[in-house]
Amino acid sequence: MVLLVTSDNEQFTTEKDIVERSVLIKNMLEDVGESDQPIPLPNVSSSVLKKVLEYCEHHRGEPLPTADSEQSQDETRKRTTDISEWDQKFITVDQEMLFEIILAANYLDIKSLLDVGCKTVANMIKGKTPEEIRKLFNIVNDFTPEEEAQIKKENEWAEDR
Amino acid sequence: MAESLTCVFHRGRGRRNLNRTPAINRLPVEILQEIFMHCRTHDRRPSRKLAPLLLCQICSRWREVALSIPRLWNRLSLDGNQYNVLRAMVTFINATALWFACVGRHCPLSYSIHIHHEATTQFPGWNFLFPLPPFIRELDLEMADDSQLTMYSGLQKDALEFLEAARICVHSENPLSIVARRFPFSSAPRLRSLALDITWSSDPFEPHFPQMPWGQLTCLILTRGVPLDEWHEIIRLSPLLQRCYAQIEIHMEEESLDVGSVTKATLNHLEDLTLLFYMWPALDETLAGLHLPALKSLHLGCHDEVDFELTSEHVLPIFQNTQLTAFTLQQGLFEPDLFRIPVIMDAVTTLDIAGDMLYTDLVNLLHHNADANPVVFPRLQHLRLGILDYHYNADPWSFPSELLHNALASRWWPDGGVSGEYASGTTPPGALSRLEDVSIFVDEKHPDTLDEVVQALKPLQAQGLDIDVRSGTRYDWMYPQDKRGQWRIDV
Repeated sequence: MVLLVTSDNEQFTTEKDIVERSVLIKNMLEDVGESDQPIPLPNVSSSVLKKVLEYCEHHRGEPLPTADSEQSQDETRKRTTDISEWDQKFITVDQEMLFEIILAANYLDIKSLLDVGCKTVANMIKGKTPEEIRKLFNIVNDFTPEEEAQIKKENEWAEDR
Repeated sequence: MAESLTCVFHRGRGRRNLNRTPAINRLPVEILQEIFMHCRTHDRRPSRKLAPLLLCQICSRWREVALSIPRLWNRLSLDGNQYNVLRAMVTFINATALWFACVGRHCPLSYSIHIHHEATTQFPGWNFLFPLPPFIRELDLEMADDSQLTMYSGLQKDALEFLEAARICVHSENPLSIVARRFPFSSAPRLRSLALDITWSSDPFEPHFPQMPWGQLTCLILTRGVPLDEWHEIIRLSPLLQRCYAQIEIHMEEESLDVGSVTKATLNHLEDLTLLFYMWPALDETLAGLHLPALKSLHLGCHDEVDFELTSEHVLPIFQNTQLTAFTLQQGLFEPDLFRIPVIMDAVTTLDIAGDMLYTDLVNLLHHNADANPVVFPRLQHLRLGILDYHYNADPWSFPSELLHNALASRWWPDGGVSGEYASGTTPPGALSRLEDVSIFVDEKHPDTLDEVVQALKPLQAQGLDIDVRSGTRYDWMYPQDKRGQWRIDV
């Protein structure tokens, strides 16, 4: 069993093969060897770690991507925004949590979870107008009216489909 | 225009604080880049509503990030046929200026240009398209007439140093097509994959194929009828081919090739060969003199109802000296020869068969009989059946759906079922491979047959056999897009 300590000082005990889906933790465990020492995760809160562990538990036993397979799958992966049914349900969370999960997946180095998060955000962007995207993510349009006009002019030639 | 974009890009940096609040803008740049890469669609034509242009319109940070990812801009498809000539020119000039500025010299580019049909007469000066940027790795060039190509005087001097895959399509049926005689660029040392969609014609006064880099190709797609003598010349100039797709043009009225006179050639690397014929599948003439020891997948198709005569003099040795595991036969008549060639029968794991045939005979042959000796297709795992038409039965048109069910059931047993018991209720012999998947294509002319097949196979599907039944046009089946698109590389 492995003991993890979150940024808000909550402790999680979990099985090694679950938590080793995180390359960061896997490497840490390999470095320290057999030890009861808790692993501090200062960048992950308890609510987020709970979700991350739920993901790791569901996908336990699945082969981890190797450097080679990652390279060969890289472009294919980027061309599809398909997400499995379970992953879709799992990632149906509020925006704040979605971005926290993405940040945690990036920090913990869980490539597949980072992928699910990024694809989900991409799917939210696709098919929307610039104004809808700004509204969805609460983004301020910081272009000056002149810049806005310039962008519009620059894109005039492009199709609007 | 690229300069003005850079201008906005720098000013955006000073105003990031305005966007600090939104959670998405707290993500590090590399994650935002990853998200933007997932925003790409299969549509490569520039659109304000699609990435990457869409992403540049949101805020200064997004614009900055989008413009800084060369891979986001590494696919560009411009189709002049969609606009009037003037509009097409404006689109081409602006798009290439932006895309080429963003893609960067070291990022490979996939570039498709389809030039307007009226362009030659209305605006002959398409020189602004050239010279092509040297960082192109994949080029898809389609034009009405190759005078559009040759009008640019520098073309023959342009070296495409990074080009790995190219498709050149010329619509006009000009028998003196330049592209058909010589490679339009001075050199492309890394070119491995070439698709030519041109009119072939023999001009006795022109030398054949100067500069064409046949000898370095591993993939060759010839999608318009290649005359038989040109086929024999090209295939012998291309010893490194691994994949080849060719539509062979043969006219019955023409004097047929003297198969005894063709030189012998061995293609040691050719694993995947597709040969399509329009009226008459002169397979004997097409394969004469060829030795294909590495062949694993052979796809033969003919538009009309014919017999391929697979056991003829120059065809049979091809089968006897290969490691064939995938065999496709699209033709008009049921091919009894197929079942008389042990090499095909014994080794094939993927069988793809279609035609206007007596399906009852075929399905009965596929039905595994425990007492059969030899077992028909004992290693069959992937079956693709095309139900195109059924000329030989009087009305009503019918397909033996129940027989098909029984045939499939005789070759499949569920996972974890009672040991030795399979769908047909008898015991599978050790020598028989289990079917893995079945794909059935029904000509859209026969919607009733589609329903009938779906209903008949439902029980097997419910038990777990992977079955896909779909309808489409005969054309979809005859000229498989996936094979014609094999020239493409992953950019």
